[in-house]
Amino acid sequence: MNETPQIRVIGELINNAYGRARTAWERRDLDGYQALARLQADGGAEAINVNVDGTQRTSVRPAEMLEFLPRLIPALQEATDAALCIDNPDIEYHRTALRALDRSKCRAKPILNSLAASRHRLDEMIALVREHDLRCIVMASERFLQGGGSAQSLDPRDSYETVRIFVDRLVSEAGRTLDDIIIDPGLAPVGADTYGLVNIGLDTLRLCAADLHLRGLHFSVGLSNFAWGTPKSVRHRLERAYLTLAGRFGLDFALANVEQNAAPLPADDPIVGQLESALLAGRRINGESAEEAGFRQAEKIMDICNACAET
Amino acid sequence: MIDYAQINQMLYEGNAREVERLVREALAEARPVSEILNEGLIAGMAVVGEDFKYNILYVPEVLVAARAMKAGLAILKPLLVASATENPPRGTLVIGTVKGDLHDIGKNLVCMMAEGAGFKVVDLGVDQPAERFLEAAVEHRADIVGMSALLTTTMPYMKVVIDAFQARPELAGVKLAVGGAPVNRMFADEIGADGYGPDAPSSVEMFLKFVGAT
Repeated sequence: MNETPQIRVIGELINNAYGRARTAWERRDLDGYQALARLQADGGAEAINVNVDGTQRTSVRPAEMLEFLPRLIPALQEATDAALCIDNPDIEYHRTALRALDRSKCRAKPILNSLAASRHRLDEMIALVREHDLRCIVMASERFLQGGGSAQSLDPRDSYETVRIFVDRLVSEAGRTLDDIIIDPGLAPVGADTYGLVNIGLDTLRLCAADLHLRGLHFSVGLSNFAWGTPKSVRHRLERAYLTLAGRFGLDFALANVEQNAAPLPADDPIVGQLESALLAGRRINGESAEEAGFRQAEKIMDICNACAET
Repeated sequence: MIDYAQINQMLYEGNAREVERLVREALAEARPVSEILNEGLIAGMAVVGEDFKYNILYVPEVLVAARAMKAGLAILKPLLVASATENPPRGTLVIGTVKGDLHDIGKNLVCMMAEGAGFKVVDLGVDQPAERFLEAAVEHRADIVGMSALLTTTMPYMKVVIDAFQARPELAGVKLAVGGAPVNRMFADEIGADGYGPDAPSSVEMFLKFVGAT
């Protein structure tokens, strides 16, 4: 149990939330993008996430993304043979990126990021996974509703059911092996987690790990989300402590910033135990609301932040 | 004599028990409910919002302060309801994440802070169609309707909601505000929103302007 798990990183720097990516986007600067791809591949990223969506600081129209991808994808492939992880909820983004992608230049299967219960045209997305022989990331944090539609999953058993549904479909309809499928159990900012989503994600990992039929699946989270709203001095240590905890239940990938050392902390690092007890405090007791438990979790996270600030 | 600065401080520190105790003490001294609300809780939460905006306080601290505020508010609420005509809320905010989108952490922060600023908050939750925003705005006589989206694919749905409101002349007085990670002022202007909130404290400042409270 004390062994530190290994995490394979999907590099997240090509995202307009990062200043460097935003500059590259605004100038449509292929050299800038290539530098970001190289930096991440050299830093140990196994795959490079490709997200050119808009943010608070940059407005991006879908048409602008579709227009730029045919130039961006070949440029990235020139810079690295790492797998590209194409990140968007919309199928047209994936179609356009895949058309521009030269499979002979990839050392590993490209990744479709991501499938989820709420996706429009989910059938077509699954067909695309088959057609292009892709790996894919599946969001377990949404569930299918009976009679159609989808909703947020607020129970690990629902998330686990979503995993089963997607694995069945991807194996039978898209010819995938379990090794092609990366499950995102869901992660929320731990200091503002009034639905208990961090625990739901960890419990989903546990349920999947206990299912022999799911052996060989991979698991990933969007790591930067976790410590959102906490001071810089503690943010990365919190993220790494989470990796240590989730790694125990099979987390083996993370969408993360390679520059911030997205490696789990040793299990005996004090912050790992502190985070574990904060998450324990975030579990509901005696029929209280998830919000009350979330407040208690926030309080414990606040204590961790304050302790870090003092040392 | 009750010292509202002390309530403000206990709220700031997230000490729910002390806030509760002091609010009870103020009531025992027969202070007006609206005074306790405004000078004790709302004023306290305003400092929290301000410090959050400038990174002096962080998210977990804001939540803990919000818990303390809610603890005080829970005591005042029945009294406020009983005296609603004398102590109307600053305004009514109907808020939700738009259809197709299940993200709501930012929206929840906005709810907590708007409540802390004296608004009646009707939280519709996530994945809400335009009709729900309309219905709730009518039912609760909303002054402001807030929409949140975290995905570029669901952002355009905010325009659907705004168009739906604009097609209803009787709702012309309702202020329409948008926010969420991919949303920015340019987009807000383009789709005809009355306002854009880049973060929770700024959103509440905007709401206060909408209702003429600042």
